[in-house]
Amino acid sequence: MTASAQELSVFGIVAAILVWWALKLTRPLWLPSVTGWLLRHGRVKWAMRLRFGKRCH
Amino acid sequence: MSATDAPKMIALAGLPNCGKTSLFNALTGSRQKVANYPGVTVERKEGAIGLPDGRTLRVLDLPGTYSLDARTPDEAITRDVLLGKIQGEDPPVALVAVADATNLERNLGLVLELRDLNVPLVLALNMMDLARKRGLELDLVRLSVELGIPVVPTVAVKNLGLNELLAAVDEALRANPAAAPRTEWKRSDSASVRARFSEVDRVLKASTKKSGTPALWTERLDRIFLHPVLGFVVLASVLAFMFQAIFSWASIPQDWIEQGVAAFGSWVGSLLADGPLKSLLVDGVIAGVGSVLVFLPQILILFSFILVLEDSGYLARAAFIMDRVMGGVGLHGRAFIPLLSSFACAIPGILSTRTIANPRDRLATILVAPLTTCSARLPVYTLLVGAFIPDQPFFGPFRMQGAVLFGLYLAGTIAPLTMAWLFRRTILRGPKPPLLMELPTYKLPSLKGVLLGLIERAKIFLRRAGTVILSLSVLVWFLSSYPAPPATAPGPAEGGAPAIHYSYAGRLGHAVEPLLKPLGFDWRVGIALIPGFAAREVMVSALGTVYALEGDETQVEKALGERLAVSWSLATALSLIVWYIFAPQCLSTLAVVRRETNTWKWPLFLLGYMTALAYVASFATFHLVGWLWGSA
Repeated sequence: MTASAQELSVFGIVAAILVWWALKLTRPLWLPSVTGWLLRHGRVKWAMRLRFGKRCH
Repeated sequence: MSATDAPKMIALAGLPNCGKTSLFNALTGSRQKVANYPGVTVERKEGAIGLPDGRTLRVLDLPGTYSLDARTPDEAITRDVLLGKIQGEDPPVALVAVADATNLERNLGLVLELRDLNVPLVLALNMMDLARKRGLELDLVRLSVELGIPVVPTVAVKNLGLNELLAAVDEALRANPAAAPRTEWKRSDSASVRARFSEVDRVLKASTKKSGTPALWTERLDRIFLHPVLGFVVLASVLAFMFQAIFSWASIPQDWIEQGVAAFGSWVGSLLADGPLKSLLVDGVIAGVGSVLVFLPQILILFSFILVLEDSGYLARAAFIMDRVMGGVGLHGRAFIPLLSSFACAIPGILSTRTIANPRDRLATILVAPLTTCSARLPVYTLLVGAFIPDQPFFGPFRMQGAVLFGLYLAGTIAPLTMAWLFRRTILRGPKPPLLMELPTYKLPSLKGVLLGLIERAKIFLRRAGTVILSLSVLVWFLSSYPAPPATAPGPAEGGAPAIHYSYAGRLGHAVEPLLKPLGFDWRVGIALIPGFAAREVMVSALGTVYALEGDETQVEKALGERLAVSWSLATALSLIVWYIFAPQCLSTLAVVRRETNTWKWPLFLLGYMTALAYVASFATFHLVGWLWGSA
C-alpha cells in the first residue's frame, strides 16, 4: 500500500469516527424523529432496537 | 400488529429481596443482575414467556416495594405502573405477588394491598425450600382460601414451581378477564395499616400448621460479622485479601495479554510498509487499546469477589456495619447500596439513589457517589502502582502493592463520606435520617450467577474497549501525528524534538502545561488527561499512544509501565494517582447527574468542587512527596 493510499485510509477512518461520535453525542436530538419515522413506516422492530438496543426482548 | 393482538403484560410485584428478579430470570430466561440486598431493581425490566397454548405474555419486573403507599421514587414507579398511570406503559392485565416464604409476616401486607387493585392476582410463595428447611409447614389450600387468590409455591433459583405458576396465571386471566382495575390509590391511614396487619396475623394463624425457626447459622455468623469490633476486623481483612488478590492472581494472565498485544503489533507492523496507516494501527489502535485490555483480568477478579460477597449475603452485613459510619456523616442507610454500586461505575450508583425518599439525602448521595473508586480508575491505579511501588512484603502475607491499592480504595471510601459530612452540615442541612436495614440469610453463592455477572462485566469492558476507547485512541493518535513537522525541522536523531511536539496534541499539551506543572504533570500527561474526560481509562491508552509515538523503535515493545517508571518521578506518579481519586473525569456521570437532578446547577457544582479538590490534593501530594523524597 502506497503512502498516499495509507494517508487516505487514515483520513477515512478518522472521519468515520468523528461522524460516529457526533451521532452518539447528539442522539437525544435525532432519536425521537428517527424512531417516529420508522414507526410511521411500520418498522417497529427497527425503532425498538434503535431506542432500547439489545435490552428490548 | 394491532394493539389488541399485542401480547398482554403481567407484572411481578413484591418486597425488595423476595426473589422477584430471580423469578423473572427463571420465567423469561433473561440475563440480568440478581443481588442479595434490597433495592437492586431500579430500572425497568421486561421479558416474554410462552404459555402452554402457544400465546405469549410480556412480563414486567417491578421495583421492590414495601407498600403501595410509596415512600421513594422507585416505589412510586411500582404503584404508578400498577395503577396504569405511567405514560406509554400498558397497565398489567394480571399480577404475580412474589412473597418470601421465610418471612410471610412482612410480605403478606403488600399482597393484601395488591388484592385491592381488582386485577387478577396469583401469589408466588418463593424460597419455599428454605422455609421448609426451617420447619415451616403451611396449609396452602387454606392460605389460598383465606386470601381469596391462587397460591403457588416456587423456588425461583432452582426453576421449581414455574409451570404451576404460569398455569395459575393463565387460569386467573381466563376466570376474571373483565375486572375493573383501580386507577387511584388513597394513602393508608394508621387505622387501615393496623387493620391490614391484623388481617395478616389472622390469615397466617389460620394457615400455619407449624412455625419455622430462625436460621441458626445466620445467627451464629452474624454474631461475628455484625460485632462492633470483630465485624470491622473481618471486613478489613476481606478487603485487604481482595486487593492483594487483584495484583497477585492477575499477573500471569496480564503477562499473556501484554505479550499477545506486543506480538500482534509486531505482526501487523510487518505486514504494512512504513506510513501513516501502519502508525495508526500499531501506535494508535494496538498500543492504545492494548494498554487498557491488559487490565481485564484485574477487573474480573475484583468483580468475582464483589459478586461472591453479594450473593452470599455478606455485603448486606458490610452495609450494616458501614451504616453506622454513614449515619454518622449524615447519609441515609439506603445510600450504602448506591455507593457500593459506584465501586463498579458511578452511573448505576447514581441511578439507584432513586431508592432514597428524601430529596436532600438523595442529592447528598448523588454528589459524593462519583468520588467512590469506580472500576475505570483501576487501570490507572494498577498501572502507576505496578510501575512505582516495589513488589515487596508489607505486613504478614500482604505485599506493598496490594496495600497501596487497598489504601487507594480506602481513600475512595473516606472521600465521599467526608464530603457527605461537609454537605450535610452546609448546603444540604437537614435532620439525621433514621437507619433501616434488612439482612438476608446467608447462602452459598450460585456459580451460575457469579459466572453470568463476570461475563456481563467482561462484555461491558470489551465493548468499551472496542468503541469508546478504540475511537478515542484513534483520535488521540491523529491529533498526536498531524500536522507533520516542517521539512526543515531537525529530527530526533539530529538533536531535534520528536514529531509529536509539532502535532495538534503536542501544542495542546504544551498550552495546558503551565496549569499542570504545579502538579508535576508535563505536556504528555496534559494530552492524556483531556480524552480521559470522556472515560477515565482512556488516559492509559492515550499515554500508551503518546509514548509509542515519541519513543524510538527499540522502545515500542516495552510495556507502558516500564516506560513511565524511567520517565516519571515518584512524586509525579503519586500526584496523578491523587488527581484520579478526586477528579470528575467522566462526562457520562455529569450527564446522568443532570438527568437525575433535572438542572445543570448540580453537575456544574460537582465538576467545580471535584476539580478544585483534585487540584489542591495533587498539588499538596506532589510537593510533599518531592520534599520528603527529594524527587520532585
